[in-house]
Amino acid sequence: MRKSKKILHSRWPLLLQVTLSLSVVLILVSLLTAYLTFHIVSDFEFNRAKEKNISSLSLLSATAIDAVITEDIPLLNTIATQTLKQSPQIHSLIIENEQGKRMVQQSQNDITPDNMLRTYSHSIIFENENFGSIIMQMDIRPIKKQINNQVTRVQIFVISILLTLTALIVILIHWLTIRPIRIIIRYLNSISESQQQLPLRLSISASRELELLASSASELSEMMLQRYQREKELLQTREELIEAHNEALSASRAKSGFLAAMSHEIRTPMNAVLGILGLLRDTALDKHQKQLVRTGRDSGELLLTIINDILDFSKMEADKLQLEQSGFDLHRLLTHSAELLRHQADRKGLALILRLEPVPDLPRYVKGDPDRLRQILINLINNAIKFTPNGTITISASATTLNYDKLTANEETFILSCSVQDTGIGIPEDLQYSLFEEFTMADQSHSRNHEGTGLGLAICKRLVTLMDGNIECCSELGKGSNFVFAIELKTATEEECSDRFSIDEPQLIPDSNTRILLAEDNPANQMVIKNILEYAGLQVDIVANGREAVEAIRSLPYDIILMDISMPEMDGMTATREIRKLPGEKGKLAIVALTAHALSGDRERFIQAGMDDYLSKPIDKKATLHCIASWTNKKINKNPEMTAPINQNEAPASDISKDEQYEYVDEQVLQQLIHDTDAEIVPELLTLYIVDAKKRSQLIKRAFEEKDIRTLEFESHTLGSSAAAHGNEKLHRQSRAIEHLCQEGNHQQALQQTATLLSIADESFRLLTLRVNKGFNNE
Amino acid sequence: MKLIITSLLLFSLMTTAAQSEIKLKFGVYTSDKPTTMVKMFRPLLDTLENNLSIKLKQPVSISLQVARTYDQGIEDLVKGNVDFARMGPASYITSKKLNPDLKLLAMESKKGRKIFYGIICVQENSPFQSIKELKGHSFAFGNQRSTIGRYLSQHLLSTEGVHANNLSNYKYLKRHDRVGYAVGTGQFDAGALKEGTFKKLVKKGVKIRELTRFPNVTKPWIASSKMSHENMLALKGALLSITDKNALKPLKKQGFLSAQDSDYAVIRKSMLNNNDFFKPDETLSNNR
Repeated sequence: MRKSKKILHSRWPLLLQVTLSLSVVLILVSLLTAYLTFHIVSDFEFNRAKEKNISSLSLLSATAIDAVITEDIPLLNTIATQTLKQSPQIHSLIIENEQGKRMVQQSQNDITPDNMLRTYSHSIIFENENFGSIIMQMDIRPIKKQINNQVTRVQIFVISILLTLTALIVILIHWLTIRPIRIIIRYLNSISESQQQLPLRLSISASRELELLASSASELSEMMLQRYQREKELLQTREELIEAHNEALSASRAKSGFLAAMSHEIRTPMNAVLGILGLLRDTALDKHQKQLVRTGRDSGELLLTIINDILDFSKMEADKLQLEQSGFDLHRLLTHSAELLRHQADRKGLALILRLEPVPDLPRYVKGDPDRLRQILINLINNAIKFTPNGTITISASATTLNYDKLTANEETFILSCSVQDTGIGIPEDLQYSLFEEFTMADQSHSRNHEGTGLGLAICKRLVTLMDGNIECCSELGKGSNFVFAIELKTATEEECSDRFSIDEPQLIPDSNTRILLAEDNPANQMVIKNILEYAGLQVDIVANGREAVEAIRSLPYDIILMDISMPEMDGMTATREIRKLPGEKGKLAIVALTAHALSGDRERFIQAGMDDYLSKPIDKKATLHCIASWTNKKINKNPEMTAPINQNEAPASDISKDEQYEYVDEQVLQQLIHDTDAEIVPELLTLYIVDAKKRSQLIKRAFEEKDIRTLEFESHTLGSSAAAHGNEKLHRQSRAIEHLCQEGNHQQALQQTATLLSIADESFRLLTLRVNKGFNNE
Repeated sequence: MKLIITSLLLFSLMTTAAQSEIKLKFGVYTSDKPTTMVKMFRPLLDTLENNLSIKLKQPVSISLQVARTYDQGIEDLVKGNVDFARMGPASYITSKKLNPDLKLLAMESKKGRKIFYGIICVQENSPFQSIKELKGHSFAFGNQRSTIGRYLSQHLLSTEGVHANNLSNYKYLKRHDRVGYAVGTGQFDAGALKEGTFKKLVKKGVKIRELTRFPNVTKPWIASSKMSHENMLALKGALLSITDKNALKPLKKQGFLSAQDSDYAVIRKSMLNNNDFFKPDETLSNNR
């Protein structure tokens, strides 16, 4: 604006421009007129003078002809004298005869400059005979003076006319152009304020173009007004939309809040119910009572599953479900998922077989959402167990590498194909197409025989779709079903993988001196958690809300706080923030959220509030103890396998399935050994191997205690090789894993994995001894 | 190159022509207005130029030099300022006397004759019937060098007994027409003028009448003593052969006749006796 004003000030007004231009034109025209006038008047005056002089000369020659013919010089002198006297403009007069002889020469007395003289001559010819000539010199000063006077008069006249014309033009331009333009400018300036303007009309003298301009300005004004009104309407609409949006957001928040509340409200009592049933199970009960407790607990867990399914589906519908992209051990996840449900399968007498492609065909470390992948697998396996009365459930996993999609040297995309095949009741063909739709069940009769919301497969379908994959079902009624899904995953490095709880990770037990503060308002939950923790030999103090928790922390020393989120007076988040303000070690106390809030983003919210970890209700005893131990730094490795005497030959029988037994003792390897040697020799070979391997495991145990990595690597390598040759497949894999960890310098993890190795070794030796005792035959 | 040669050739021809052109001056004195004199002679001179050019086979140009006075005219001829001249018989006599080498070319023909008449005129209603009656009255003469205007008229008067001293008044009015006008207006009782002028004035309505007349010889054309013989012969031939009426009309003559000095003996005599007019009557009687 300032720049345009500056530019505006640097420009001349049109009136001044016109006046100056006309002045320049006036000067030029004046000069040109003077020049032309001078020449025209000069020509005219000199021609007139010439004519006059020629006339005078003719007259003079007529007068003097007789005297010239007779060369009457006195008479000629008289004529010359009279002529000069009568005509003062004639400066001099010369009369010559036909031979050029000067007969008379007379001149005026005054001195005239040569440049002010003009000479005229006239021959005296009579009857075709030249008798002489008269030469007359004219003084042109009077003519010049006359010319100058005339030029001056003409110039004055022309300048007067031009000045008058200029003034008239300037007035006309001002009246016809500048004045209307100023009116238009004023009008345009006024319409910028978005006010209602009357149409601009110029005076009748205004030109068509300016009237057109005025008309355009009027149209512009109208357009601007319309635009302003439209903008106003749009703004109003926008405000209404914002209001509607806010209302929608409020509604959405209300829905989310409702879901969260429902989650909490249902989970909290369910937590109490399941906890109490768990406690009840650990008391002295007869067989029938135990059966009733187990049924009650199973029903509660089923109800929780249904609630979780509904919550998950609600989140998916609201597009709120976001997949994680974290690194995890795919082999471990698949194994863990199968192991979780093995117990259920065993109870129904079903064989649960897990077939994984070995590393590196099926990458171990991958990137993706492990929880959701586990959810899909558990859902499918659960369904398979549910709808298979007898037979086998086979879980297979394989990978197809997408070579064209190699991202980096260490990262490539591959397709993970998983199938869960059962020998169950199968699904009618006409229902297979709608199987993945919400609330669909294969048969209404199933809904009576088998629990479920009908959301499980729909959730699987949505999750697989979210993972850019596909899920299909192939089933034959009465023969079984095969659910196959394929998703895209990226390979990852081991460092990128950090599974928190795995079945292979040693179970941590907190120190019995650990002082725990439980902040929980629900008395049932208080009782359940207190019993769980006290059963584990831990000291627990209970407060009913956040404020009491803060007060308790101020007055007493605690090692860890289990903090419920939703509490009266002061919620868990606020209490956490208050505690974090406390000085010294109290402010740094480990705080674990204990909540039924299980929606996506909850964990981040708690961590952001200053909490260190969280445990989801209903309370899981193992997870809770592990979590407390890991945060109090007073953990004692109380893994049952570790606590058991390592050199015990006879370990308690475990619930390992037949397929899992194959992982410990691979019958195919043994058969190959028989084929390569002899059935009689094999028991001896195996016994020798067991004796040697036990020695090796002793050495490994010592290396673990002394943190002797070199020995650990060497003995793991030796043990792994001999284990592979004698059918102890799982022991072989674990040994190789530790060997690789040592080679990669990952000593801490290698030492952590050693306990698992020793546990697997004991189980492997036990099962192999049992197999040896069964005896071998040559086939 | 061709153009240069042509130009040089033309230039040389022009130069030769210019060198070979014969320039002649014809002298005459003002017996009338100079312009009248020019008008009178120029056509004749033009014809003469042509004829001479043919005769001499060279271009001839003749310029006219009008002398302001008789004396000047005589001097021009005598000194050879002009190549040839026309003058009255008296002037010829004078010139011949001054320069005997002057040669007569031809004399003008008045209707085929060598003579014409002078008139003594009086006012139309004048009572005078004879010369003698003019005694005691005034008389207007022409030029003092004029044959008619002085010598012949004074010779006639003196013969009739009228002399300068018995005239009440006399005056030389220089020109014939002035004499006619002066008599017609009564300024003089009588005057002498040539017949042609007299008739012209009468025709104009000047109130004069003829008292008497006397013969005169036509004017001679005289060659200067400096003129070459060849040119003189050619000029003489040319003059005598002129028959062009247009050329002769302004001069009011019909041609030229061959002339001898004896043709002017009468004039010479009158001039020699001119003093008689100025002598007293007694002297005259005694002399006779």
